[in-house]
Amino acid sequence: MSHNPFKSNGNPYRSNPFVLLGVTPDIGQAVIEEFADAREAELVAGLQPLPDLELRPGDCKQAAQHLQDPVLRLAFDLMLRWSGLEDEEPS
Amino acid sequence: MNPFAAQRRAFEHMLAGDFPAATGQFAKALTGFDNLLRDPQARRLVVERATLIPGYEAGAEEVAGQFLQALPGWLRELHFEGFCSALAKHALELARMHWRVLAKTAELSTLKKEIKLDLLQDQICLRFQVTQEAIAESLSERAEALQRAERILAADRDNKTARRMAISGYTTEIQTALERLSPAHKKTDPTSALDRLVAGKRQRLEVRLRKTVRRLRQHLRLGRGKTESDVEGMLFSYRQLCHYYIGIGELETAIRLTRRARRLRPADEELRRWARRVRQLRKRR
Repeated sequence: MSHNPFKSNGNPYRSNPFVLLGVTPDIGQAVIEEFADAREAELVAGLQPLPDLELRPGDCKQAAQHLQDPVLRLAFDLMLRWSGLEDEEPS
Repeated sequence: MNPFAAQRRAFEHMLAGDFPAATGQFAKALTGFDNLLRDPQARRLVVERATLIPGYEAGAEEVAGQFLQALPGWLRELHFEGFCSALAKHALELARMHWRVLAKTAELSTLKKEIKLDLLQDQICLRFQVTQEAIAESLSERAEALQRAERILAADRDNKTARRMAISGYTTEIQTALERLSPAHKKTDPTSALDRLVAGKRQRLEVRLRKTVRRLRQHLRLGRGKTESDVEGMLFSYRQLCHYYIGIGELETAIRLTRRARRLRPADEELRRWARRVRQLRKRR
C-alpha cells in the first residue's frame, strides 16, 4: 500500500518541490542541495553545459531539469533564498 | 511573515516528531502563502527573483505568474501526499497533522478553491481500496478493507466515505454470520440455529458477532448526522442489529435501535410497522 510518488513515470507530483521536501525529505533535501550546486556551477560556467550531477540511484535526477524549467527554478530559488537556507533575504 | 521560512521550520518540527509545533508552523506558512498570492507587493518580490533567471529577464512576470498559479496545487499535494504516505506507514499522528493543515488550507481565501475536502476524502478511500467492491469481496478481503477504513477514520474521523464503507462492511459481516447460523426456512429466528451449535463453536461465533456488533454500533453513532446521504444503508444496518438482538433475546436493545432508525426517517410507515412488530415480540416473550 505504500505510495512513492517519485517511482512512477509521468506522476504529476514529480516536479512539486513542496512534495519533494515534505513527503520524502531525504530525497528532497538531496535535490535541493544538488539544485544549489548545479545553479552555482551554471553561474560559474556561464551557462555552459551543466556538470554531471552525482545523485543516488533511484533519486530524482531532476536538478538539471529544474534549472531549465523557469517556474521550478523560481520555486527552488525562493525556497533556498527565502527559507534562510541561503544568506540572502528578500528586500 | 516569510512563508518559506515558516515552512522550513515546519519541516524541521515534523522530522523531529513535534507535530503540534509543525502544525503551527505549517499554518503560519499557509497564511503567508495566502498573503503572497494576494499582496501585489509580495508578487513584485517574486517577479524580481524571476528576473534573475538567465534567459527569462523579459518574461519574468509570466514566470512569476505561473509559479503563483501552481502554488496552491503544490501546497494541497504536499499535505495530501503527506497524509497518504503517513497513513500507509501507520504514522497516524503525522497523518492527522497533514489533515489538520489541509482543513486549515480550505479556510484561506486564495487557497480554498484548490481544496475540496470531500473529494480528497473520496480519493483517499479509492487509493486505499476502501470501496464497495472491496467490502463485497471475500471475508478476508472485507476484513482488510475494514481495517483500512478504520485506519483512515483514525486519522480523519470525518471521512464520510470511509465511515459509510465501515458501516456497510460490518453490516454485511453480521448479515453473513446470521445467515450462516439460520437454516433457509428459519432465517427470521437465529436463536434456534444458535441453540443447535456445539458449545465451543457457538461461543466463538458469539464473541465474533459481539465484536462486529460493537464496531457497527460505534460507526453508526459516529456517523449520525454525517452520513445521512446513505439513509437506506443505515436503516439496513439497524435492521441487521435488531435481528441480532432479537436473536440473543435482548429485546429492549432491539427496541432502542428501532427508535434510532425511526429518527432517520420519522414518517416512514414500514419503519413504524417494524418497530411495532419488535414491541409485540417483547410482549409475547
